[in-house]
Amino acid sequence: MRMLLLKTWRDIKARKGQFSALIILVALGITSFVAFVSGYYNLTASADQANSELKLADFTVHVVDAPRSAVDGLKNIPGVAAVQGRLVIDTGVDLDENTQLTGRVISVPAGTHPPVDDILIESGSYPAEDSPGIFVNKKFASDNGIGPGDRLGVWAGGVKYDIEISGTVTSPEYIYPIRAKGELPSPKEFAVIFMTEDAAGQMFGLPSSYNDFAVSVAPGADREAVIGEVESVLEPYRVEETVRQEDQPSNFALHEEIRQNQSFAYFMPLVILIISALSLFIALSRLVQSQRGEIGLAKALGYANWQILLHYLFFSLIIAAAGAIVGFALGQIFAIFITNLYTDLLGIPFLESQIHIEVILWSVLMSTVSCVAAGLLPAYASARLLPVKAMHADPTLVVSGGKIPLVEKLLRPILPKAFTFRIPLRNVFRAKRRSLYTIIGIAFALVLTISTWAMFDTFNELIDVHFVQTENWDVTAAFEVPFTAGMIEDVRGIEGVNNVQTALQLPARLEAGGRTHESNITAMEPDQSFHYLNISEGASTNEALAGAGLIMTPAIAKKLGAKVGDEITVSSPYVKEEKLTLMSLSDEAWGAPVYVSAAEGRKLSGSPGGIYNTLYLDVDPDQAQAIKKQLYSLPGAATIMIKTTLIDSIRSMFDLLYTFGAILLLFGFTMAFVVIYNTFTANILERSREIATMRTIGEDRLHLAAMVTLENMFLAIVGIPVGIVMGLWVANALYKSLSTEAYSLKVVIYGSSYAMIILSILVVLLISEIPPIWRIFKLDLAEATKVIE
Amino acid sequence: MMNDTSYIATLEKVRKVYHMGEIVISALHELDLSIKRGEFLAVVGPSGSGKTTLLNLLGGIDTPSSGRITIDGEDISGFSQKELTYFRREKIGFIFQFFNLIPTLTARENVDFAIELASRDKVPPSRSAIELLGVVGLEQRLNHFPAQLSGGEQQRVAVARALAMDPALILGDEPTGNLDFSTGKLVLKAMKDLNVAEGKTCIIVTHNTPLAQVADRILHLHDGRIAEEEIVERPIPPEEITW
Repeated sequence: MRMLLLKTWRDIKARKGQFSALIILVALGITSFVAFVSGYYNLTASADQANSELKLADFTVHVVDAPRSAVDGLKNIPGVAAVQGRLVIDTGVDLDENTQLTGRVISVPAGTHPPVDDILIESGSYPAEDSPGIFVNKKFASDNGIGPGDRLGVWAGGVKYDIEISGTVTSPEYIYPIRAKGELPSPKEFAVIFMTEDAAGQMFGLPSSYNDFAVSVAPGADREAVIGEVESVLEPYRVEETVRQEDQPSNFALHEEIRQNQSFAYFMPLVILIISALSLFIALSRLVQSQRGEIGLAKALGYANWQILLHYLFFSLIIAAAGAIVGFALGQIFAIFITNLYTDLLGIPFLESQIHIEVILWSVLMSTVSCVAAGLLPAYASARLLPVKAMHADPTLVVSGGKIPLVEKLLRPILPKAFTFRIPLRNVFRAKRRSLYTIIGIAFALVLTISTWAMFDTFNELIDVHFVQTENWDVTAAFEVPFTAGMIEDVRGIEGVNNVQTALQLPARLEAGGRTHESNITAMEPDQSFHYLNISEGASTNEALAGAGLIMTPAIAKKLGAKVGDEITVSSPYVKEEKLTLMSLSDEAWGAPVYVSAAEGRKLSGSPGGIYNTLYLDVDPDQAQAIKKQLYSLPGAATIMIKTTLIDSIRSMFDLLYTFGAILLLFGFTMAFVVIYNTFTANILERSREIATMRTIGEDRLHLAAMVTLENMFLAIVGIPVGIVMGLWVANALYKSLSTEAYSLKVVIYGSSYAMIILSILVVLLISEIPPIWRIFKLDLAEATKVIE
Repeated sequence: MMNDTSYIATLEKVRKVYHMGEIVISALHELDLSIKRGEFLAVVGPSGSGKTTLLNLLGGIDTPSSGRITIDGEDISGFSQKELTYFRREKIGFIFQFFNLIPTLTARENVDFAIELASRDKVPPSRSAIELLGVVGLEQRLNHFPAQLSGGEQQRVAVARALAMDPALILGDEPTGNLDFSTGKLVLKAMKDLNVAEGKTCIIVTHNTPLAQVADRILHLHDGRIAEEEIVERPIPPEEITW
């Protein structure tokens, strides 16, 4: 046994390059697993801790206007652990004279932290009774380069209040800075402002009111029952919306992000590990092939089958152990990097970077299982070999008989005659298994590259489809209160405004077959052109919006278990249980919109006359900022967004995803190098006598390198399309798992990307050829020409 | 002696030392040797005597540690790898123990491959592949692949390939070592015919002493030195040889 161990060690030393490559291959799989899974665990722990420390509400109820004393009634409801009443008001905010933004003012009790939906003071100190200043969310402050001592203009009732920033905070409700579920994040454009409830009440003319109640439910209590009780207590104050914790916009988005991270965490490492295991299998099979003579000798000398089996399994175990150690170390570094990136980007105040024992155990298990599984078959094959057979050349590698490949026969007139071309072409067909291994190697290399690269194009396409093809407006304006026909005319009269269209947005609850969905409904005229409806099923837009019809995305229909033609019960803060028919499904790249006709919208708003609260404007791009400023000066203006600014903001939100993509791409190219290097090196080793003979009789190095390159290029011609098809399949599976209620991802890879990927793979292929070609140059001709093959 | 054109190859005080880790192995000790044009030389000796090393040095697939080797008027001792490649391509015909044909090329293509190498240097081929295969009696097996040929036929293709560049020297390292008795004699005859009819200088290395009797001269190597030089007054025709 000692001798076999010694042989194992010497074999490894003799193939340092190939063994290192295999260790790297396994390490890549483990690194990606540890990095993404630990990153996922850390992120989940960080988010959970933020929610728990800052007491994220189990649900919130938004009303029109309730007396502060309503809180006392709520506290007495069984199952209510704590309640915080507050004012939550959307308004315009002036960053400076020329920069108008959307703001949300939230009141907090003076001098004492709220028992629900608390805030973490990042700078400054908690607002006292007579505190005149405001606190803004940290992300907004850092993105705009402002902080304590700076001033913001907060609009209230058409008056701008110039107020000093006293500090920055993090709120569990705005870790992901959005106002509504499915909304596009725009942290730089959305100011969440906290001020004492007296200051907020005075500013907005609601000195003794609350319009929002954050409730925490006692452990063991039935949340839904508590919600029912709370809603009935608040009924007199007109309940507009009840938002459960899982639907709270930031919490929902954060958990979607975590869910996507989970998909990445489990899917990509799995792909990498499968590729690693298959590559390992190929490499070990070829190792066994190359050692047939030694196996025969060992068996002739009396070594038992199990000893031979064990010897070759040692290779696998050594690779597994080294791969797990290197992979875990690198993975942990990447995990900390990913967690930091996430918590920084999302502004999660609690960073939880830990070493997870279960991840270590999984790493060891996965590397061992994949390596042993990969090595078992070749090891078993080696153990089964009869000594007499083992001492002969591997029949699969010997060119038996002779045949000119069909492709050469067919294309003879147009193919180059030079042997520098013909020999590589024939080599492709001489040992089909060897060629197949190389093709698989090249294809594997492409799988990861394609599926990763698809991320960039898919998200770019998502933005492009949504903002260029679907959303046909330049500026949108949402108002807290419905505006009048006269105001629309005023907006039309603003210089630079080319067209104005109207819509009504209102919160609603949809129900079908016992399933519910909380969403904003957009009511619009059938002939509107600000939003393109891509009807995939059901009636046309005009028909669908002609009567009591609804249009929604397939994702929401699926959530509700509804089909076209089904009846949907819609409740709004003003109307209970309006029955509408699901008329059509609209494929929307982004968002989870639900559409009804303007007439139906009026019904749901409880107002029979013309009523709108949202404008969509076509404007002269140069005047967009000036128009935005003027819109904010209109009464009730809450959110004004310029499309181009929004796109920039979204792109910056994707930076994290792109960082992941870049890391995976690095993995992909490294894997491509390792896989191709290994197969090419084995190709060269298996033909060293032949290559040495060519060199001996006078073939120069340049031509030999050209022959190796050509052979690999021929194999790449087959491997690349196979890899692209496999890569697209993997990408489709991955991005399907990443699709959310808010956006559905369809894999897109641009033509230019295909060109880049293929070019990059060819460059990697050429680089990975260098070591085996160098081996050819360094061949000991005297020795190699005598090798028995 | 250096300028004597009657000698195709001369070795002057040629040493070859191999380093195997900390062990230094002297394969050849200051060897002096001259080989005449048109000579058939056989090198014999026990394993480790240095015969293959001598052949490798003559063929330019190895370089001497010291000393000087002149082949066809050119001192190859200081040649770079690139120069050695061109030297081998133009001056040397190799015949290997295991034939070493390219398995994916037919008999004719194997010879054509060598011709293509020669033509890269603008050396017009002296004979076509068909003619060369005719010389070794394989005109009927032109389009057969090595795996479709017997060992003897493969080795004769190798002989034809060795002739493709009209080399100054034909070197055979155990050319019959992997062949049976009668096939081996056929290959030996093909080489001897070339030597006699075309005046080609042939050098073969063999551990098979009776086989060396076809040569004009037999060089006995021992421990990296020439132990004995034997001039064969009446070389035995290959077809009469027995071993």
